[in-house]
Amino acid sequence: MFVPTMKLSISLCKQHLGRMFKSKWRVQSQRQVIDVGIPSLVQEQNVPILNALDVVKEIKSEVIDINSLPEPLCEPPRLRKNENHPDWKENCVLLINRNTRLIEGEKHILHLTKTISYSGLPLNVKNLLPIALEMTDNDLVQRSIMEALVWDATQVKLPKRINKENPGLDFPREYGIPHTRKVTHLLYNLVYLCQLFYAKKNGLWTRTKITDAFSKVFLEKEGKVLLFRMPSDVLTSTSRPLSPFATKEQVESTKDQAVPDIFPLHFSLDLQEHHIYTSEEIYPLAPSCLNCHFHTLHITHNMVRYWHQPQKLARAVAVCFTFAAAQARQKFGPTVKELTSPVCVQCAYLDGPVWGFLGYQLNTLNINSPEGIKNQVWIDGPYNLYESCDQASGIQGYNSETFSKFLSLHLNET
Amino acid sequence: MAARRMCMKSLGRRISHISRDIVNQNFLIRTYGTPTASAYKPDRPNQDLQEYVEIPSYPEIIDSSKEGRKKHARKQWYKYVQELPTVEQKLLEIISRQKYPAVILGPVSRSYDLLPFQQYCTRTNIIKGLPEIYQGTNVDDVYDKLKQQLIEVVKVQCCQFSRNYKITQQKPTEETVSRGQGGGVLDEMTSLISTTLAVSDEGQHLANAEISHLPRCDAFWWHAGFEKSKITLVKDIDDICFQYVDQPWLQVRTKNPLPEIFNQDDPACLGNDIPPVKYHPRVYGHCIERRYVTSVPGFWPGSECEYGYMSLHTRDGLVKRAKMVTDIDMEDCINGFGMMASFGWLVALATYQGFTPFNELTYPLVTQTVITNGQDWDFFVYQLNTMSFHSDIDHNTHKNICWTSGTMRLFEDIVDGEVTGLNDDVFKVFLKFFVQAPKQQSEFSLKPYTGEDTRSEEEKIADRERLRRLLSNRPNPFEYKHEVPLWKWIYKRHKDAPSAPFLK
Repeated sequence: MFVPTMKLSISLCKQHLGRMFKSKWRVQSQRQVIDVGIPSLVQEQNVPILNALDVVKEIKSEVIDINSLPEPLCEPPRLRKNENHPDWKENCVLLINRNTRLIEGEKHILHLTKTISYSGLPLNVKNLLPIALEMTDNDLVQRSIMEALVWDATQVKLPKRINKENPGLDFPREYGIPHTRKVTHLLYNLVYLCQLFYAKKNGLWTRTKITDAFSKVFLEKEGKVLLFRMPSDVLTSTSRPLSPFATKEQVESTKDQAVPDIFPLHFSLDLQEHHIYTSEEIYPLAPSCLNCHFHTLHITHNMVRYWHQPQKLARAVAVCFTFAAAQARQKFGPTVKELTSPVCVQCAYLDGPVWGFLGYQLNTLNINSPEGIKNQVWIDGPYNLYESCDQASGIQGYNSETFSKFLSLHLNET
Repeated sequence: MAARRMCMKSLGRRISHISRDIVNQNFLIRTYGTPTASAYKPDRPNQDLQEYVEIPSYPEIIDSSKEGRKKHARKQWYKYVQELPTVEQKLLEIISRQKYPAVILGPVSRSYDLLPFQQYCTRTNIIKGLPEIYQGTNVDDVYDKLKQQLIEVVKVQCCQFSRNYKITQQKPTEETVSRGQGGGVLDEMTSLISTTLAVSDEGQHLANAEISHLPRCDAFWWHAGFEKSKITLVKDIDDICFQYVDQPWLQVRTKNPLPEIFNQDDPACLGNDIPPVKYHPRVYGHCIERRYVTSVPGFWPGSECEYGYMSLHTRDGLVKRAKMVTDIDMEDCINGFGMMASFGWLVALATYQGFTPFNELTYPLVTQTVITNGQDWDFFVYQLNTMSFHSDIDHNTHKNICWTSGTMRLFEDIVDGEVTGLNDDVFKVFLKFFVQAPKQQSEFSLKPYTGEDTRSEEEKIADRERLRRLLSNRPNPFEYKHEVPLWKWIYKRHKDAPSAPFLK
């Protein structure tokens, strides 16, 4: 017997039942009540006549409150978005997570985290670029890109494409590699190549690589509590901390510089008010881990939704700040304000073809007051790794320098 | 109206005659955009032959019964498939023919005592213990270099997974733990070992290897000799089509194939002494689905690294079964897992070398398989000698071989960040798997059934798009047109129903 997946609605809706109902109503509405003389006959026998509506009682169905029922029947407590959630707190915090899209972009996050930006990578990473350029095997890199974007045989139903010229007409639905998979696969492949080139230089890959690590930090600013909860798609860590990007004198000189101002906007713009949270802070690595210092963070823009480049950069800075702050809290205790030795992390953020690189140095956790020393960030990019990539024409507009910059981050020794 | 219809029919018949004649003269007709089944038409006697020749050549003597003629036509088609020059054309020819009723198989057995069935339908002999080559290789130097790093990887990945779950405050199920820990350990260990070996002299083959994450792995084959089911989809076919569907955690592919372990003429590979299990697959609870069969080893044809080196799996599929069965059954279940995973991938890889289930392998293919949850490890080596089990072409000359190591426990527990009860042998076996070097074959052709691609660029693109469309198995929006409504089954098709020629 052949039973296909079928749509019954077509055959069921073939007959228009509405017309039938309408005609029935039209016919029945013309009926008249005929007086057959019953009331007078009944009244003669002294039987009282009552209104029918007084006798018939309307049955009211009871509305049950689902949450008053015991555990397996009610809505699961962890799924509730109200006061009944076990982790509901009265004091709300302002949440910054992966989906927070800061409208002012780079300026906004710099103001929020009290950071000063410089263009170009830090000096000690910049010096590694010639070595990285020499080591880069462009054939291998191009093959890795092709493997991730073209040769991958995954076939999943892709989201609908909108016809911009004629919004009424639909394109045929495509099956292929989803955007999320493309970007993460590309990142994994290129991080693996970095491991290979690192091993070529030093003989052995001695760092730890973790996928999908989280950090969570609470900080106070102008009387409001900020909750930074940020992921890193791939995280590498080393046994010794990164050497600082700026000297002590340069850090001292930041006292005179001012962080970007976003007046008339308030810093809490675009931050979500959040009531459901736990008060513990999270440092992603286990305390027994040998390589307990963050080296490089990777964050991908793996959604189909369009973000402007400054917004992606803002998220990358927020990731750097969160992980560095978690590291500082782990190292110097939960009440530390100005750090005796700075915490440094590096970051690469990508959106498939477009890559950017950061070096972040955390000098202070006192983001409440605008005075004092400030944090520093070195921003490089965005650069194109390639312009387009498909099976017919291969990789178009490949830029070898982008991968070399990515490699130089990984070659940076502690 | 009827006359008009007749006229159209005869016209169609005439056109098909013409096209068939053109095909016989080695012209290829293709129309783009229309779903033509194939360019294949059965042979017809050539009319240009001279009437008198000096040495008479007689046609082949064919069984003239209905069965015989059908079998002859099928064999002609197998020959046609073999002569097609490219992999895409071969696959397209087989797949686009019809939606086959296929038995869907996965790596993990769904019912009890499935190992004999799995062995029968893949014709595999299981040998306990790894081959001698693996026992001979020495990896102590590499192991001393990597030992500390490997222990660190196990420690970090197993602790890290539980820490991630603190954020969501959910209790992870056993399956997610098995998948998360096993996947993390496999990711880290493969990249650590392959990068380290790629730099040294022992592992130059790994410098150009390709690692893919969660690839798609499908394969199909036919097997004869099962009892007929009462509810078969197609009644007069003895051979059952099997469709294997899987998604391993990682695949490592290389440019050259691994060397064979036994020669194909070795007595270990010859003969078919696998005990037959003739129950229909439905008896074991396998579902049958009418679909376009798919053969995808994780990548599209055209990738540089097209030989299997190693596939790595997590044990999450086995967690549910572990609760239901005893240890002995569990051993069978894992052996079945490793066997099916290796066989499925190798068959798919063999189709990319120009072989099909109807065109037998000319040289053996070898792969290695690892299954783990971070703590328990299983190692398999598989040699594929034969993959055509269809009754038309099956000669029962060869069988496949699967070597298993048995389950090995890496460590007992992790207490306060310290690994206790560590078993070094597991690391060493894993390292031995990476040291095996593929060889470049120059003695024989690796792709004997492929030839020069003579298609134009347009034809190539059209073929590729059509093949991918079929392989995606997208649901047909007009499927409901084939639907037979319930009243038809009762009032028209039921055996007790009166004949109703005007009821439609």
